[in-house]
Amino acid sequence: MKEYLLRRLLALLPVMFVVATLVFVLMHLTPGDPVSAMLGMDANPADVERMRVHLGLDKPLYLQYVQWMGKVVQGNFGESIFLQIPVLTAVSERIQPTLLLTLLAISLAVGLGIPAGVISATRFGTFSDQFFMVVALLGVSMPEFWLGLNLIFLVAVKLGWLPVAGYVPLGSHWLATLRYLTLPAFCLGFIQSTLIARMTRAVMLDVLSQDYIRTGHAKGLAPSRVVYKHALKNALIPTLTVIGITFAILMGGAIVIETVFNIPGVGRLLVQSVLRRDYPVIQGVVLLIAGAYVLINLLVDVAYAYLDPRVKYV
Amino acid sequence: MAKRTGSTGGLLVTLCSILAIIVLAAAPALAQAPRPGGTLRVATIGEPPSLDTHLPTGIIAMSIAQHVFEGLFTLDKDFRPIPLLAESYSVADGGRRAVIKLRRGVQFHNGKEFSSEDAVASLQRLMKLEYHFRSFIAPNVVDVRAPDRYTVEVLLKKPSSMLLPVMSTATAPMYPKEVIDEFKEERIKKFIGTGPFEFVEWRPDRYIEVKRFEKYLARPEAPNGYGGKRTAFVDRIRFIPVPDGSVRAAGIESGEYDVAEDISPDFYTRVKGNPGIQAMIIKPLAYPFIIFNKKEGLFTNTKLRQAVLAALDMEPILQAAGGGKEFFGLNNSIYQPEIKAWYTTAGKEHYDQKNVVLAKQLMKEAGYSGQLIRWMATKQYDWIYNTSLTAKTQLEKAGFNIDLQVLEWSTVIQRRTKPDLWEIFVTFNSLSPEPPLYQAWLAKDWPGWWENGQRDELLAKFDQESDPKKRFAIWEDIQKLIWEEVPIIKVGDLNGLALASAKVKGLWPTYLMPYYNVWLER
Repeated sequence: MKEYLLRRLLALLPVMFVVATLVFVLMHLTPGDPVSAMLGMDANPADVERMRVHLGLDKPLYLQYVQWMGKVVQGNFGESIFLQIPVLTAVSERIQPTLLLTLLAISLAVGLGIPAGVISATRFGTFSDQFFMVVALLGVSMPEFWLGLNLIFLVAVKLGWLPVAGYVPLGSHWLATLRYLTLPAFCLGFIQSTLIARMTRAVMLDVLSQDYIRTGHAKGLAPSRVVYKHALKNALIPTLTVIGITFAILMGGAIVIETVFNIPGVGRLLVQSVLRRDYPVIQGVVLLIAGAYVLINLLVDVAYAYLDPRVKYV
Repeated sequence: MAKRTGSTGGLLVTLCSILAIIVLAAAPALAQAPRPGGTLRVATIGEPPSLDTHLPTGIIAMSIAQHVFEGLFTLDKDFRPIPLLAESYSVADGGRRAVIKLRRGVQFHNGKEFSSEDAVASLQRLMKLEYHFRSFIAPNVVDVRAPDRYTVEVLLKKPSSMLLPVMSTATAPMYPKEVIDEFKEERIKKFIGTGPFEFVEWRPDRYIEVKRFEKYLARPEAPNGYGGKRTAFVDRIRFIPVPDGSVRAAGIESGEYDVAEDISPDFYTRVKGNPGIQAMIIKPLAYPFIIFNKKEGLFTNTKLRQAVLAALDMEPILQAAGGGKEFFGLNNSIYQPEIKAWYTTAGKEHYDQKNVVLAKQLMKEAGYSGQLIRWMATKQYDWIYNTSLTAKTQLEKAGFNIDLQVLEWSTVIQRRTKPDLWEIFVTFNSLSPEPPLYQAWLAKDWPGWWENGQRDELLAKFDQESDPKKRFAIWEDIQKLIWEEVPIIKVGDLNGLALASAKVKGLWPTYLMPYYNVWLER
């Protein structure tokens, strides 16, 4: 297992190299200029040129690439053109809300999705099954921002139950933090839960038709024991892949939800950086997300080994 | 002794009644009287890159920084320059020496008294970094000196009427000399001003907070626009960046924010009748304009530009761009009616002609035969897109062949510097207090590239003329030239919308809405 883990970690390097190169090339080929975006509409062309020289943006592209990669391998992702602070500082200042939102959303997604999938599968063809699947279909079809704006209008403005937008850092006011994150976490978690519910239902239906499940019932085991101890454990394995991917996606910053709910997280930073053409931040954040994605997939693979004794890594 | 209960009781009742009447009569006045206290939560469209407005930083920076920093001069309610940190302004030596007397006893937020050494250092930095100082002042300056602690002199090569208006803009604040010495030409990171509020903290993506500066020395005159007496009634102001407009508006409805800036006019009808919300029309604000590439291609031909102007019907364009009738105005004057010093209808006969027949004739004279016109627009600003779409429809009916290229704003800004990539783009101009400030399109080197000898002559004359009436007459000639030569087409005036809770009092709905002299009713 240790050798397997080491091999997977080393395999991270070429992946990160490819991602880094791709994002650098794509951003610099995209029309738009960070300096013009920073200096505003009335910016004088001479001012723009001065700032470009000051920031090194007038250098040939290959030189900018080499200089940037040279810093990245040393763990230095450069400095934000707009914020004028190190990229890692900008990300670390914003990671807390993104992490909390992700954890809350994934808890909700799993907490809603798996039970819904199990109920649908065990009551296949009934009203409950159809109800959950219609809701799941609606959830999958619904744009996050649409759900978010409607929830703001209904829950925050009309009912006044929760705040409209914003964030309170976790500290002594953990309840306030929870209040501000409830609606955004629900938006994200609900939509992801529909994916998990559909996946869980499909896999459970397959597992419940297996011989050993029929044997369990024939032996006189309680139905709940058959479903939750035997069937669900096996159904979780493919579902875990979906959960892992969901977590990685949410770690990417839940871009839309952070923007709608005004959460100062990594996702919102990325959106603003794209609009401002803040190349170092875009490149740095995308690299970090790619790294997180690969590591989470590795964790999912390791979890397989614990869930399924037939899986062995050498 | 006989009891006097009846007469004593009657007297008491009478006294109570009189007191009740006095209290009831005074109640509205008491309710209106400003009360100190509270934190004002302002939802803004975004966050500035810095509060150092000596460098190009955008409108949000100016809007926030004006509470912390002050300049030597500012603008009154009619947008005319008036002293702020200065006590007076005069010229000597035939206009070649400007003498600025400073107010005494004004403190920076670090306790240091503001004096001429700070003013000289700030003016010198401005002349190196700030666009208007660099363009209109620095080339004409011989020296800036401080003959004594409360006097600044600016020595000029030739008389210029631009110095005072440039010093009145929101991008000309005074900083302590030691801060300038520390940061030189880099963005300052210590925000120490003389304003009614002092900087507290900046949590990136969360808020910028300022608090009342207890030792602020206000001017003695009554509030007058951005000038006169500035009072920090609220204890603190928190500027919260909320990029989504509907969330800013929802925050007012739910009580999350006290003021929400830059709201889409679409919200106006929804909130208009709500007694808990003030819907404020921000006027004057800006004007959209169509700008032609006069360096290369089709629109080097004046007749073709005149053809476009002839064909346009401005009202539907403004309606599409602005929304309801409260949010736009047909106006050919480059300056809005509120800017009384420069408002003129010179050239009006060319505006809003709606004359397709004339347009077709001019197109023929220009030799236009359906060549493609590349028109850049963006959906990032709704009104730019709506202006472009509506104008395109009208022009196509007149026979123009237009390719509307909808791009990201950063892309438009980049491409507009390349004359081989476009023929037309649409942009807007924020409020300008005086020609030619904030009218970048008047310059030869700004995208559009208007080369015109008569314009150069008139601008030079304008710069050197000090008599206000004569300056106005020269400006009228410039505006007439603009409508004849058509380097740009001003579409009309657009107004904005801001929302505030009904408990916020004292607001002046204007460009760069200030929050001094504002209080919270509790």
